Amino acid sequence: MGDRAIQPGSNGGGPRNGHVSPPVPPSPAPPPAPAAGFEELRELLVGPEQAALQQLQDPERRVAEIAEALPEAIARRGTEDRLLLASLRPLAQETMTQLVKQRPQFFADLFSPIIAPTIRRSIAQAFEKTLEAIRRLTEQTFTLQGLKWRVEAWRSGLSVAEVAMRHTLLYRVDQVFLIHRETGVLLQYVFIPDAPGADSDMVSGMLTAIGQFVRDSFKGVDESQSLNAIRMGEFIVWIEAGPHAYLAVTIRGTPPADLRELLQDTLDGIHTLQAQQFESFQGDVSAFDVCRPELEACLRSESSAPLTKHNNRGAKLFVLALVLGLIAWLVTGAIQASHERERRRQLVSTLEAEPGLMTTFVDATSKPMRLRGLRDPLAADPERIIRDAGFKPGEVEARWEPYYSLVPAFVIRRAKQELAPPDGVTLQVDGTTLRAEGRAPNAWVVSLRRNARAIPGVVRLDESKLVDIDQARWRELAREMEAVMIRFEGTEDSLGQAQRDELARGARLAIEAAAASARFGRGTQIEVTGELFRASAVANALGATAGVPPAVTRAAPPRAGKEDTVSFRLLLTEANLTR
Amino acid sequence: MLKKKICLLGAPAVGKTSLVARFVRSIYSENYHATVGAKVDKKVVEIPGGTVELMIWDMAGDSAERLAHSPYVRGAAGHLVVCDGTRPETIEESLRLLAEVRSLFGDVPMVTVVNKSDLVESWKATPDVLAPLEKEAGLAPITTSARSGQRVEEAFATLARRISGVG
Repeated sequence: MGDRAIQPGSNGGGPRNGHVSPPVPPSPAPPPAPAAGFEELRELLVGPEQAALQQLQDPERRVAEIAEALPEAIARRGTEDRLLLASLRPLAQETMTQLVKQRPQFFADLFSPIIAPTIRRSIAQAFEKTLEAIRRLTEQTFTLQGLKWRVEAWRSGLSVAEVAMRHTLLYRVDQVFLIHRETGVLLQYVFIPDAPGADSDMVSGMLTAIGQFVRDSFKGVDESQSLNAIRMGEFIVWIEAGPHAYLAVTIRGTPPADLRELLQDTLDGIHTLQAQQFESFQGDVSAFDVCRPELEACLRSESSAPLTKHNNRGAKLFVLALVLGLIAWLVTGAIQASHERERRRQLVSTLEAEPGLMTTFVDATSKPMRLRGLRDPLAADPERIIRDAGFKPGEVEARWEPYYSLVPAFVIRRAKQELAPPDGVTLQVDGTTLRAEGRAPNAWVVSLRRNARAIPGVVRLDESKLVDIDQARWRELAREMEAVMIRFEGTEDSLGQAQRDELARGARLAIEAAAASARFGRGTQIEVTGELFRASAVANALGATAGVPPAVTRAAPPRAGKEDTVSFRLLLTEANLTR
Repeated sequence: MLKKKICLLGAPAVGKTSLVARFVRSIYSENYHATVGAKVDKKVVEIPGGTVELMIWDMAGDSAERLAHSPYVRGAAGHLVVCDGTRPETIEESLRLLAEVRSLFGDVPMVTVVNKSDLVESWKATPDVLAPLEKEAGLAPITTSARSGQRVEEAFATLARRISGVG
């Protein structure tokens, strides 16, 4: 190919090897041959179009033309619709992705000056926030507030630090100043209704002066920096600076870090929207009236602040109420305890006053009250006494052991129960002596003697005024018997009617006396005294009478005036000799 | 509402602070001069067609030149250049000050004040002495007495009108 020459005007016409040949004007030539004439004719007819066609097919030229029209085309299409943007976006994203991967350092260098200050500021604010929370937490740990936080943390499941953070980030923005940076002129001022303060214009000027003073007074503070905060106790002034103005807010309490972000955003927004007003500012502050809503939005607060005086007073009142409540509870408790002690003491007194009940152990403070004691079987029911004293079941746990009480009433009751005295007998107790009075059959008297000392509380028995009616009757019969006399006339030895009647009377007495002595376990014998023959005759006659006790005769010495008389006497024998 | 910052400039002890004290009732004490180095006061002044609120910056300084270069001066809409009528050297200093301020801040409105007019016996501010001042400031200086209050309000009012473009 190298030896081939390309002739101008020869066909081939189009670009070769990518090279563009400029159009060549027809050159003078010898008279054309028929073929040459045709070519010439064709050149004349379609030459310009061919040339234009060649230009269109020329890549370099096409690039140059597109380059010329491209900016305008993009701008126009961009205003018509978003198709161009949508078309370019994936390409741009891909390109950016590749670039970041391939040249990360380039992008780091590019963005570092922009984002580094923001990152530093964010970190500093985060640290400040954390330190403030820790400081607050430390201060509050051993106070009533701290204890309340701990309780709240326990109830809510949050950490104490989180609870402390919630409670300590309490603040109120009182005033917002928008100040022209260069002149210190107050552009706008908003405040909460009760915010105290000096003339806002002068405050604005002095703040500017103070900021300038700090810049002038301390090395290392350059012109681009500005005063950031002023703090005095709970009162804080935060200042955010922008190119033309700065925002100063007065705060009471501890503001959250995001308030700083709000101030920055507000100031940035004002600079963006009021850029023209700043540029042309000649002292007319009314141009910035439109900023008031944004500034008023900075008057933020968290109202549930426990650090305000009001809430401190509330806390004090709470503590006072707590103390008073505690005192009231203690006093009430003491009164109730005293009342309860008195009530229990009364119960014990009542129980001990009751005959036959005796307490041996009392625990007056325990619940239930514990009682131990002795109870005579004859005593009243202690459970009923406890109920009557107003104690509910379960309030008193009592245990009673049986015993015999020696109080006279109980001794008497027990004696009456045991001895069952017959009518006509009264029993009395005098100390440990049981005194029986009245008339009683011998059998009961014997029983009395046998059983009286077995009765608890009875040591001695006094029966001096107790009459054994059986023995008394026997003695009475014996006296009557001694009055019976059988008189004989002269030497007569036989019994006449008169003698027999008298003898029958004596026999009746003897029979009754024998029955009487039998009731107290003795026998009765008749002693017949008189002249021997006559006494024997009488004794024989008695012996013949049914039921008469045995008779013994005793020859009586003759007595003056009595020798004709037979008399009788009743004798007690050990055993009952009644036949 | 127009608010304008103005500064009091001049040599030490010419009576700048006394002029302000005569003109406004300040909420800040004189100690601010020693501590912060400046004191800002406010006065609303009537001008034709309305009012203007003057923020008056009175600065401490040991020389007129240093005051001119103070960062406090930046952004001022006008200056009250004060000299002492009993001390001609302060008038000279004011002339230099006017030129310095012009070179620093351009054609900013200034009103010159010759203070202490109550000290008649030692008054040395003759018309000849004051002529260069009028020429430099473009306005006849106002002779004032901070002690008696003579023409003090007029001096501030003149500056207020000039910075508001109405006088």
